[in-house]
Amino acid sequence: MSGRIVELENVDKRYGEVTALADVTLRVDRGEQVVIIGSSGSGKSTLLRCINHLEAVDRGKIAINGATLVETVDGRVKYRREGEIRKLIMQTAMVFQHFNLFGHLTCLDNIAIAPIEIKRENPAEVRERARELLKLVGLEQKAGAYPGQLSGGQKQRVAIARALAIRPSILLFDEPTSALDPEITGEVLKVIRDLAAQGYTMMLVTHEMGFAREVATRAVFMDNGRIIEEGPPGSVFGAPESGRLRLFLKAVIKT
Amino acid sequence: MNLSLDYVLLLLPSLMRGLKETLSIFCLTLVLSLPLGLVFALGSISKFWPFRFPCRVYVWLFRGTPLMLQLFFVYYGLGIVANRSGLLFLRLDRFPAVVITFALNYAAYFAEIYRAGIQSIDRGQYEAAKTLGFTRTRTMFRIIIPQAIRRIIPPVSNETITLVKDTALANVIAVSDMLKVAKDASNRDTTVTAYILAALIYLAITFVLTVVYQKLEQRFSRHEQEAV
Repeated sequence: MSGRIVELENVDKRYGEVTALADVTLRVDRGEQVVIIGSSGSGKSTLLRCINHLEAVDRGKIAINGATLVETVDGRVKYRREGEIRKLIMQTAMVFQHFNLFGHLTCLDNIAIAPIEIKRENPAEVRERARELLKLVGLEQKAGAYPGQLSGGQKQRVAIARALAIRPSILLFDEPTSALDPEITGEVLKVIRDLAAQGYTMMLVTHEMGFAREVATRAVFMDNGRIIEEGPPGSVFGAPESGRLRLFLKAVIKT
Repeated sequence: MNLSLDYVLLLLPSLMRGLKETLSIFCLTLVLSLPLGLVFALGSISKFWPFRFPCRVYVWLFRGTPLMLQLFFVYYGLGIVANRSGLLFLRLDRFPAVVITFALNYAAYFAEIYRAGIQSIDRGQYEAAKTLGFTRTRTMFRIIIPQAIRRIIPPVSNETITLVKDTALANVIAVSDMLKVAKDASNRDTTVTAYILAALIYLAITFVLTVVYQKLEQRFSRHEQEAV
């Protein structure tokens, strides 16, 4: 099996006049933890959202597990058919800044609904697994609670369990702690740290620089929709080459 | 005013027949318009304009003209068309004319209520469902609508109570609903007793409905309670 989980080649994305991604080429292999840093509006979230087709690209190629999601032939962007896109993006799973748990379902059902209804797995087995996932994120006692009854940190941990439940090849974390109070980011970061230590493949967009440096096997710095610098966290954080990265690090570490 | 028990008992059988007519119009209209409204709501938020456009025009037309005009049109207007064109199936009896008109009219109002409820659900819910592999249809029926229901119940309750009273419009085309019966009795006996009895019955119906909708709202709010 190929080790390439996600490949982007020369991807462009515009919102009207604004360039969100410009000629982005990036590859994530199995077992990597790739952290994407950069200031707001640099295109980090857009990058993740193009991988699972929450946004459509304007140019370039994206492949997931070696299967092409979109490619550009003779200047024309060609996406796969809707059903095929759906199957491909289910090989990824996203954890959102605002959790996006389903408010009408219990924690357990939030986790179990996709494996049962979409992947048509055995409901009893899925619920058993969902309980294990809740235990993994330290919330086994909240199985019957509704999202409205949880704190932000608890919601995000349930959301991580829900993402894991579809057994994705890669986890996409889109600023998972940005909507949380500072004192409770720790409980979410701990879960992500544990997953990284277990070797889960992930891409993580975050403003938590210390955490980014700690969990990343590779760090990517973006600015104005472009990848400016990329490499082992030691060199990206410790010995930045570009002036823009130096400025960025100086600004975020000061605050 | 004659409130003697004897007179009230004399009026009751015919009022009950009128009530039966009123409740039939009410129930049939609800049963038809509640689901029909969903069809028009989904149509009017469709990304595909050949669905969206007719649905929006429909809602505009039925909300933008008087219910009584619609009733006249369906009963008398279509009758005239039927006679001129020979398409006799267009000539409707009074009762079906009322039910069809009311159902079409209320479907337009329900469609707008549903549409607003559906569109009030956060975009993140669609995104989460999509990343988990949900199709658009399944997202709508399993994720969005179940959460929209709670927000939809209060305005639907309002419309339903309006419908109880709107059924009285049926007597403009001489359907013997409860108000018609009361009016006839009042004219015959020159007393307002029949009107008072009819009013009490309308009040009883709307009271029951209010309680039912309150219970429904509580039931669908279970997941919105704060931390236990």
